[in-house]
Amino acid sequence: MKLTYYGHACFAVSAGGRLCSSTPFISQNPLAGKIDLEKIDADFILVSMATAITSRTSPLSRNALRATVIAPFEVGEWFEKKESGTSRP
Amino acid sequence: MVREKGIRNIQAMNHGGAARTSFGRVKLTAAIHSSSMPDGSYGGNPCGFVVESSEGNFYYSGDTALTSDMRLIGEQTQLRFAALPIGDFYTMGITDAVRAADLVGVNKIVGVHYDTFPPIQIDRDAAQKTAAAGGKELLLPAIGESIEI
Repeated sequence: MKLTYYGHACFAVSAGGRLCSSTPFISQNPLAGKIDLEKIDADFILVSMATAITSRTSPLSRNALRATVIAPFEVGEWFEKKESGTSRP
Repeated sequence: MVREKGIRNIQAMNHGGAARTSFGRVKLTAAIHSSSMPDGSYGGNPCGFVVESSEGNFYYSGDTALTSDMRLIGEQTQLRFAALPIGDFYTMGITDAVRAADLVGVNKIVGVHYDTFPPIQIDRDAAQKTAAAGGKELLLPAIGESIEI
């Protein structure tokens, strides 16, 4: 397995040929200024808590927008209420 | 903010449940931490994840304190490594991370949630010594670095 660290508690793991990434906190992390968001192409993004979804959470790269977000129920519901275009796979 | 993110697909799950994925399976585990949405609404309980894949399994605890529930994870799943917070203050620190690694049955710890803010800046040498004393390998890849694990 290949693991890439993106700072704080964000990392990506290539598992079975697919990437899964933990809670993104990149563009607002001053220690991760060299990370190019456009090069992160995750199939799944694991969001561990609501606190991670703050104004400090980085926008995801265009490549990652096709990813499936796996999150606690209330976090998922919050996203669905905020954006009608969101759907569960 | 959400439109800015453009998230389209969400699996809204809960603790103890698992989702089948293209690479295997993801199960939500308990975590002890705060969790509220940026608009103040209820954010439910935070979680960790057990990821199972054809290449191996791993545990990402999320932001959490040490909890004896972690023993159940090790009893159920053979893990290759665990990604655990080591920064202390907001989460467990390295001493408890070593105990967590014992509970889930791994020798390799990928340290996360450290150095980002002043309260969680760590002494790397001391952390490595603590891990080694507990029989664990503490992996601290540089930001942007990839490692085989």
